[in-house]
Amino acid sequence: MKGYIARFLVKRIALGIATLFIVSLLIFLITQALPSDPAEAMLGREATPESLAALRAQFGLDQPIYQQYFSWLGGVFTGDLGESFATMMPVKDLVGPRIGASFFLLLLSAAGSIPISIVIGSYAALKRDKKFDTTSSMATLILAALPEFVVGTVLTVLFATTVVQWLPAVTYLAPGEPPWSDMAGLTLPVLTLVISVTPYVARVMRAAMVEVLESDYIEMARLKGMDERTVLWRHAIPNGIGPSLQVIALNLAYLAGGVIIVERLFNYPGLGTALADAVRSRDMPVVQFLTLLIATVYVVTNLLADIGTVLVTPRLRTRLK
Amino acid sequence: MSAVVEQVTVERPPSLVRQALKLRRTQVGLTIALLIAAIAILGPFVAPFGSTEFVDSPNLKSVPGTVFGTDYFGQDVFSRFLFGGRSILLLALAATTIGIVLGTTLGLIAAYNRGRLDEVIMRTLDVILSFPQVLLSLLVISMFGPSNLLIIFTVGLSTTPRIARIIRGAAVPVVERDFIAAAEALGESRRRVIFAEVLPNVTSSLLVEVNLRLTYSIGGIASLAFLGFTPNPNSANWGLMIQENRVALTEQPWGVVLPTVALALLTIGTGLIGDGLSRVSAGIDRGGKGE
Amino acid sequence: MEQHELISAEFTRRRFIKGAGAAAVAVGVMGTSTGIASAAKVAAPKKGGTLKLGVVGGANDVFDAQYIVAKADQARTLSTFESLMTFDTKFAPQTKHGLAESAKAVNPSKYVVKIRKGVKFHDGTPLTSADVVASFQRLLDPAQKTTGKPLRTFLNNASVVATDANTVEFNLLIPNVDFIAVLAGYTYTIAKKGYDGKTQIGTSAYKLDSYTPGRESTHSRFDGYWDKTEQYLDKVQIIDFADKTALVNALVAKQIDAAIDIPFEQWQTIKSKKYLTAVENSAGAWLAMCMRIDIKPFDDNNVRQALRLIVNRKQMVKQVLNGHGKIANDLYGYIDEFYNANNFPQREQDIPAAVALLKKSGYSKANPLKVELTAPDDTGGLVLMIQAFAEMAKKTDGVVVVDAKVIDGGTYWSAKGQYMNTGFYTTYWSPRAYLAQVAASMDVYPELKWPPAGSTFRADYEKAVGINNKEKRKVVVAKMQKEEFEKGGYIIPFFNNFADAYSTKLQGVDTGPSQLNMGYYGHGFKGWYLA
Repeated sequence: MKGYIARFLVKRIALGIATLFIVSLLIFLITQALPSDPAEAMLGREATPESLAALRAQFGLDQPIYQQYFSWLGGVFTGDLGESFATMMPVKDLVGPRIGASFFLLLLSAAGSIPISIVIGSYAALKRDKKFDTTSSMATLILAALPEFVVGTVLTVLFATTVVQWLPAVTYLAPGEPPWSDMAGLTLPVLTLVISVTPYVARVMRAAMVEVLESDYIEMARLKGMDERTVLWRHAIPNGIGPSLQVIALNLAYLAGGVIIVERLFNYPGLGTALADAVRSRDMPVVQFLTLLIATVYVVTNLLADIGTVLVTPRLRTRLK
Repeated sequence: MSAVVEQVTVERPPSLVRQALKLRRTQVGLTIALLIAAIAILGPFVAPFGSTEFVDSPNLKSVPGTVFGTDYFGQDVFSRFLFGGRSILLLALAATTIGIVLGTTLGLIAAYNRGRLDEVIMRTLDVILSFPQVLLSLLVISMFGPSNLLIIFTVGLSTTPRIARIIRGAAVPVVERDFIAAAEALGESRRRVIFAEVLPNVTSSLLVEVNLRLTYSIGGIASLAFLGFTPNPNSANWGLMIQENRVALTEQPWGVVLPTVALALLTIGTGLIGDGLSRVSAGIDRGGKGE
Repeated sequence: MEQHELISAEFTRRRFIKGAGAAAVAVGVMGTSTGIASAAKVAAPKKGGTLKLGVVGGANDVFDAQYIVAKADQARTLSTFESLMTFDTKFAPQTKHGLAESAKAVNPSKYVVKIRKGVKFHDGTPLTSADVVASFQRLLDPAQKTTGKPLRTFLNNASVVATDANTVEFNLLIPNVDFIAVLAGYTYTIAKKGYDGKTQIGTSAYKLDSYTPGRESTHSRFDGYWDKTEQYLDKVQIIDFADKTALVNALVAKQIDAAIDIPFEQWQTIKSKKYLTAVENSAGAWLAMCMRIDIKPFDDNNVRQALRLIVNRKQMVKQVLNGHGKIANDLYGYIDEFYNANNFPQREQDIPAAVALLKKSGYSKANPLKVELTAPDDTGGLVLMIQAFAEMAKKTDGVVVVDAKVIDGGTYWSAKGQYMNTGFYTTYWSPRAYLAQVAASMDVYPELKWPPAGSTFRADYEKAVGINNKEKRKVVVAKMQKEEFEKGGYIIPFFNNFADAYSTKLQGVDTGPSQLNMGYYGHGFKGWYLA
């Protein structure tokens, strides 16, 4: 059986790398097609032929496109990500702290939302069509219907600015300080994300659990006289988490790359705003690296979810053969 | 053999919908969704002011002759609300349609052919999935400027891979069944086999997915509008309305409250319908397999 | 003028300052400002504390002595570097807060500047005339990324000469009676010789400690500063906010002490807080729609004048600025003593007259005038302005059809973008005296390709900048303004105000008239203290 898993892993990893390569090529080609090049975007109305030429030479834009691409790609492999056009800082220094900040936000939000949603989802499935199920499914539906910016704005008005002033309205991370240096300031962004993500995962978890609980082998387990708790924890939940892992992974990947709205609301120094700024100023080294990074996060979480699904789900472990 | 085919093709989908409609949650969901759709469709006809007409100074809570005061630009909040549903609903429907058509086709082809074509299709879709969505929108819109077509296209494209995955998953066991082999043996064309034989047997998965994706598209388009990506900056649109009036939330909440409630209700409505459908289809699938 | 409500529009998320320091303001007396400021009790200034200043900015911020794109950049440049001259509250150039001890005109083409003695750079080296010359040479170098473009029309490398260690001579290529005001442009600051745009060593009261683009910069009191009388703060922190709502929230939640450029939607909220102060400034900044006189159909003066007549200026101020600005008359240079030298009556909306003019050029409901008008998505006021204009054009009942389009800022302002390259687009200018603005609009940023062929406008301008006698100059200026009023390509609906808010803890902020936020940012936070 191990051989199968190894082969499956190798294949998935190879595919992941191929995906990333294509994404990097695509992003490079698309950025080439943008209507203004970095020098033009950066100089705007102050542009002179001389300053445009100087900036293009500085950025290496005067080289052929394929050469620009391969020298960037080579840089990625050797750990040299180049210099940001807009800030003249090494991309590593510019983006590094933001990666940490985004990752920490993601970690806290995941740590908050995943257990809650698993518990809510499983319990609702267990109490199917009972009061808890109907109430929780209505509540998750309503929460899922509220966009993040509404949740975040309402939380800010409630706890930071208008109703009471118990919590900071924005996160303040001093440069060089780790993201956990402002835990109070992280409360609202994390809460916003937990509220936004939990409903989805809880609903998927419930659906998966309902299916599992009705399956033959759970029936068998019950018939064998196992007590409900063992059935639930030993058999039902592991099989129910399997399908939900995909959704959890998708949500995590989304959190990693797409929390721009939450970042803006709470002035959180993460990757989303950096990416938006970089696109605007045509800061290619930053755009390319961030795209690759976000795609990597996606591919890796997806891979882990696939592996996790296989390992966690007893039925699939055997089917893989 | 063909009798089996007929039976499977005709009877399943209507019974799914009919069964779902018996559920209380589906009825409530449908009512809510229809109500919001009615506001969106009929709103423009009953709006007291034009969608871009100046009524008074910006951000006034009470202005004589208006129900909910003025918005960030001095336009009538209520009229903008009545005008603002149509475009977002149409955009969401169009985007979902694109996603469904593309996703279903690709998923079915992948499932039917398996092998290399399957791999190529699914891996290509993986590339799209792993491409950050915000970035895709940012880039496409910087490149071509915001237009309705582009919004439909980007949102539709981003839903395609998910639908394709689901449909492929649902279609693989169908393809292996006897009646497909029989249809092939009868010399039916590949296209006919895929669309006339396989497709009808994945409709329950598809229906649930249509609903989910519609919900997702509404949210996606509202978020795009929130980030400022709309073709006409002052067009009335619920997503854009929230963004425009957000800054004045503490002074004039109506401009944010009305569209938020409408969008939330719409999502809840479609969500309830989806719930009903999936509950029923789960039952049918289990029963249908008839082990 | 209403004093208690402010602009509703968010002006300037980025890029508002066009050629900011550019040939800036000259002698003038008309600037007004409403410091609705602090009923604050005056306490004795206290030393110490860290000021937290919030400003809208992002990873595209620029930190350079001589190049500014957004307000965040402005705050940082002003906190680190100083110019030779500055402006007083009547917009006249002064040596106070500046690095010049004196600046004198020998004649309209020759100026002599004496450098203040005892000025040191943040690294301890003394300021000399060589640094001044090097700074101007950097501004004049077309290959450098600076806002020095306007200078290049009347200065070249040979024109800036150090005659001794403390004296610099400017020999202008063409006469300019406003040159001393030019020296007060706030992006014409003096950096150390050899400045490369990366290491920020200036002469200001607060030296840079650290800078993290898109996040914040920290500055601490410079003990070698030449004027120690007004250095109260220990540290200044300039913090970037990606979103203006977050900026105001942070101020309301007491996380920062001051917020630059607050959105007027939040004015009431801020006012309702006893611990906050808000100030509004109206120095004559303006937004405009530009019609290029060499591009069809705007090459037809009937079209230009008709479009000007479509604008309801009072309504523009009401909707776009929420009442916080003054209506304009398609003329610029509000702070100039010769603003509207002809006393032209206020131009009002006149749809029948506009339609009649267009009819002369063959436009009618059957053959409508269809125009596309663009604005960048990064400048809120411009977006609202084009929308309001499109709405007003509907009053022509289909004779004029305006397609208002919002364009990605990165594209709009780029060298190939809509700005300056299309027939009908929008622009933003900071306050400037009339002739300085003419120079900027005519040659440096030729937005309209003005003047038209056969016009005496350029000759008049060259004459005016050489006339020392005010009354004689006024005659020429009046003639130029008449031509612009009758044939020009700018539609200038209003002069807009801007506003800041800060904690009542922060004292000593000069809220008098100023072209920049927080009273010129206190010329580098001088006189500001935390009570």
